[in-house]
Order: sequence, then structure tokens, then C-alpha cells
Amino acid sequence: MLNPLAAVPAIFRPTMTAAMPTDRPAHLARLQPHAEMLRRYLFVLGAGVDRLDDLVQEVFLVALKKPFDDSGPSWAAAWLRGVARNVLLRDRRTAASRREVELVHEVWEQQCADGSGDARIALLQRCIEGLPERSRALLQQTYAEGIGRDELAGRFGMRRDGIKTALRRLRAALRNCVERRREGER
Amino acid sequence: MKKNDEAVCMMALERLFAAELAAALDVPISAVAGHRDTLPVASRARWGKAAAVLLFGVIMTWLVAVQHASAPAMQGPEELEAPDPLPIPYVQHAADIAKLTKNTRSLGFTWEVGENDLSSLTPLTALVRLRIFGPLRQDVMPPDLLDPIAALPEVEVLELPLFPGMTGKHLRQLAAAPKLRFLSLQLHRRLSIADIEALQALPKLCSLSLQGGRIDAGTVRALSLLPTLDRLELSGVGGCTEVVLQELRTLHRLRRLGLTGLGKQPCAERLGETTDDDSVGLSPAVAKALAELPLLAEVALSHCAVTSDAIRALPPRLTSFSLTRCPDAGADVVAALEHFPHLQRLGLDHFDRGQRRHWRRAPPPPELVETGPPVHDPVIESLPDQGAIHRAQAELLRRLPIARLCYNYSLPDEVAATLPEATKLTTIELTWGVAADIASVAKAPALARLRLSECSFGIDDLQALKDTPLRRLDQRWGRVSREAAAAALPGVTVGDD
Repeated sequence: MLNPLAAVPAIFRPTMTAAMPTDRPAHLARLQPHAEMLRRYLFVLGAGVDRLDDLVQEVFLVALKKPFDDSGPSWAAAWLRGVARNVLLRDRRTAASRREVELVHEVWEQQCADGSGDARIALLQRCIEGLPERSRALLQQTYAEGIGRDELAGRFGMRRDGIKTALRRLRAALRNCVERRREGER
Repeated sequence: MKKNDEAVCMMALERLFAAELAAALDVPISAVAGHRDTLPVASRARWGKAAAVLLFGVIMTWLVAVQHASAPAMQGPEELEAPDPLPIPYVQHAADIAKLTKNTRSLGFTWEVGENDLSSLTPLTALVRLRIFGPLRQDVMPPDLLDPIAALPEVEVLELPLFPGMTGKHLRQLAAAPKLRFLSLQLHRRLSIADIEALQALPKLCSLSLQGGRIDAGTVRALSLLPTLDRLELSGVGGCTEVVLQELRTLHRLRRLGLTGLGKQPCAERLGETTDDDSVGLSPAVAKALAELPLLAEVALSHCAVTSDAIRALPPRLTSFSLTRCPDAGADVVAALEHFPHLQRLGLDHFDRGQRRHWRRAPPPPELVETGPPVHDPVIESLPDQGAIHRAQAELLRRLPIARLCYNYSLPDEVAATLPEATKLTTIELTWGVAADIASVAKAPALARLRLSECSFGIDDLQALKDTPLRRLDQRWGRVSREAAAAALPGVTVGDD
């Protein structure tokens, strides 16, 4: 069956979809794929890690109450980021901190040309795959397994400070790798 | 970019990488961000920096306090206001533009039929504000019409008619204007989403004013696409129904909103105003939608229908509110402004017989202008109780921390009587005031800046400002020369703003 909204310009659709009866669970199911992106976005904007889940929940509540555009995932993601930004701005009391949020939002827009940042993550994954086995293991055990620096020093036969230095160099190398690949794609 | 901005951006990039690393490793952000090695903020360095900032803050506060003790403070910088340099020459033909000097900073230009070439503006490289009027309809426009305007290197403020023959492609040409920040469009046709998409290309556009024409909900929603827009004015725009105005809630960056000529106002119409009939003005539902805008701090209503409930539905954090040319708004509406405890800038006016000279209708007969016993005037008598409004205005000045008062027409006695108590009032702007107002504002104990626009007073009236803390006097279209005013007020900087 043809979508009756297909012929309507996207900008008009939110109001029309809002006027229609919405299926709440289905609506939530459409929102859920954006949760990870929203967590990243809110974190970059300065939200504390302990508040990320609450904030995403708040964004979804707004999305359930307000008209939600169903015309495409990128449109919806952009709209949700707008809501997320506002949710965060409400917590910012001073003009300077609000301005910082706006500034960081611009950084996001600049860095994540696809809107969601998924392309950058894909590049990072490729960079990680290209690392030597030992470096990948260090990353995995540090961040995924949460092993402390002392134990890592024992496992990798390094000094405690050596682990710290290695991780710093590893992160710098990965950032450079992502930037190089981004440049290569342009 | 400021140093602090750079630091914020650097930190944002660090956080972005941490979030991406977490996603790439398929772990929660907390696993990466919470790790002490991830974010490059050494807590010791952070505390050291915080202590340094604190110390610097204490020293600066002390310095500022010392400075304040010796001289009253000036009003803060007004870079958010559109520059409006004087004088403003008006020309009616492109040929007359050639007679202007290259230093011309402001220009009004009437666009005549058949004059579709704006290249005569090109030599005016110092132009900051350009007003173009187009009284006649033009349907065919050359594709490079606005290129000469876009090439003007200093233009920050542009007022332009949008004719049926002009499309988004024309507006997109303005993207090349390096400093254009304030754009005002006189709509001779319905504003379309394509027009707004074209305006997206303007890199510094922070203010958009729409006059006349029509808009709809989709257009208002599309305004949220403008990446740097933080102020919007809708002036006599058709189609501003409650539903349409509620869509303003999507303009998340909006800091200042101006609504003019919206909503039915019987008194205003009797005074000669015309309104957009299909609008409700600022209704409680619209105000509730505006309360969702996180940055909204300034609202200006002029000739706009408004109720006290609507005022109370606005966010209490507003710092600037202007309620002018709204004769239907009674004392309850004025009193409702107490809902904004942080209000610093207040714009007001009032209505009397003399004021009608400034409205669009013909001047009243002489017997109405003369002072003396009341003369029957059905228009004035239909207005809400003006005495109650004046008392409510005075009460606002007593209760709110107003630092800047803008008043149109002569100050009512009740308002003037509060000025000696207004210890926070540092700036007063009077438009169409009279000599008695100068004596009244001179009693404001903290007055540092006075701006007089089209006021009727003589050089002798300025004597009242002697021995006051006044530091700057600006006149626009005043009768007293700048030199004479400066001589009468030694120690006061006199300018034409």
C-alpha cells in the first residue's frame, strides 16, 4: 500500500503524523535505535556519564509527547539531537555554559558529517582492527574488562607508568588513524 | 576564536573520541570515559586552574568594585543591537547614489520600477546598514540581482523587499555578504520553505525580521533550520494563527522574539492601526509554547494582542520585555510583568490625546490638543483606565531590578515619581518625550546613560542633568546640536548614538 504521506514534503509531515493516533510501543521501537547515538551526543555536549541514561529517557519522553517525524532515520535523529540539546540546556544556568553547549554542538556537526557519527565509529573500528594484537589486547583489557594498571603491568611485562604511556600513545595513534582515513575519504 | 572556546572544542573532541572508542569496543561510555587515563584532565591541574581563576575573579571583582565606587557604571556593550549609524541619506534613483560619498555608512534607497540593477551601490564600501524599499510590484528579476549587495564588505543590516519575482536563488546570493547579520524582509509574497533554505547559506545571520506577507506552520518550523538565528520579529505577517505561532517552539536557539501587529485590538484599530485579523497575538497557548524555548530571554510586543494570562505563561527568566503600542492592554497586563523577577530592561508607553499626533490618523482638531478641562473624545475614552496603567507601571519600577527603561511619549507623573527611588536604573531611553521628562530622569540616582529620540526640549532643559552621575547622552533627531549639548554638560560624552 502506498504511503499516503509520501507525496507530502517532509517539512509538513510532523504535524500530520501528530494528528494521527500513534502506537506507543511501536513508536518506542522506532526511537530505540537512536539511543546509543544520543548517549554519545549528550556525553560530548558535556553530560556526566551517570546522567546519560536519564537524559536519553527524558528525550524519549519528549519524543513520545511531541510530534515525531517518521520520514527517515536521519531526520528523526537530527530532531532527537535537537531535543537532547534542549534538555541539556535546561540544566545549564549560566549564559556561558549554554554557549559552551552550542559551541560543542557545532563541533559535533563539524566532525560527524553524517549526523550520527556512525561513519567515524566505523573508521575507528577499522583502525582498531589494524592494530598489532598486543595493542588490541591492551585496549580490550583496559576498557572492556576494566583491569587495573598494576595487573596490566604484570600481564604485559611493563612498568605501571609504561602502561599509562602506551595507552596514551595508542589513543593518539587511533585518533590520527581516524583523521587520516577521513581525509582519504574526502 | 577565544582561548576558552578553543579549550572547550578540544575537550569536546576528547569526549567525542572517548564516546567513539566505547562504541567501537562495544562497551558503555562510562567504561572508557570513567577510566582515569582517557580524558586528559589531570585533576591536580584542574584544581590549580580553578584556584587561579578564583583568585583572578576576586581581584577583578575588587577592582570593579573600586571603580564603581568612584563612578557609576555604564550600560554593557550592545553588540546584540543592529547598528544604525547616522545620518541616513535617502535616495530615489540609482543615479543619485553616485552623488554619495564613499564613507556613507547608512542608506535608504527606494527601488523604482525598471531599476533592476543594483550595481550603483558597489562604490559604497563603507555601508553598514542598507534599507531598500520597493513600493511597486516587480515580477521579473535578473538572476544576479543581489550580487552587488553581497559584495558590499561592511553591510551588517539589510532591509529588503521580497518581490514575487525573487526566488530562493536570489536570497542565496546574500551568502557572499561577509558581515550580514540582520536581515529584514518586506514580504510582497508568501515566504516559502525554499526561501528559508536559501537563507541557511548566510553564515552569520542572527536576526530575521519578516514584515507583511503570509507565513504558515511549515514555514515557521523551517525557520529552525537557520543555524545561527537567535532573534526573530514577525511584523504584521498574515497567517499567524495560534497553531502557527505555537510552532515557534521549534526555534531552539531563539533568544529574542518580537511580535508586532498581531491579533484583534479594538482600541488600536480605533486609533488607526491595522492588524492581522487571523492572529490571536500572544495567547496563553502561544506563550506556553514559547516557554519551551530554553534560551528565550527577550520579548517585545508592539501593537500585539496580549492577556495577563499569556504574560504569566511565559518563562519567568526573561530579562527584557517591551510592551508598547498596545492600547488594549489594561493595567492587569502591565501588572502581570511582575512575573519576571529578573527583568532588567523594560519598554513601555502610554496613551493620551497628544500622543495621537504620532499615530497614523490625521492630527486631532486643536480643541483636543489644548490642555484644560476634559474634552469629549470617544476614542480616548474607550481606552482602558490609563491612571491604573500608570500606577501599575510605577509599581513595576519599584519592584523589579530594572536597569534600562525605554519609554515612549512623555512620562506619566506616577512613573516619574518612582525615578528618585530607582537605584538600579542606569540607562533611560526616551522617545517623543518632552522637556519635563528631562527634569524627571535627572532625579534617577544611578542614571549613567540617557538616550533621547525625537524629544522636544531646549538647551536650557539640559541644565537639570548637571551635577548628576550621567556619563553619556545620545540624541537622535534632536533639536539641540551636539556641540551645544556637550558645552552645557561638561564631563558628559555627547553622541548621536
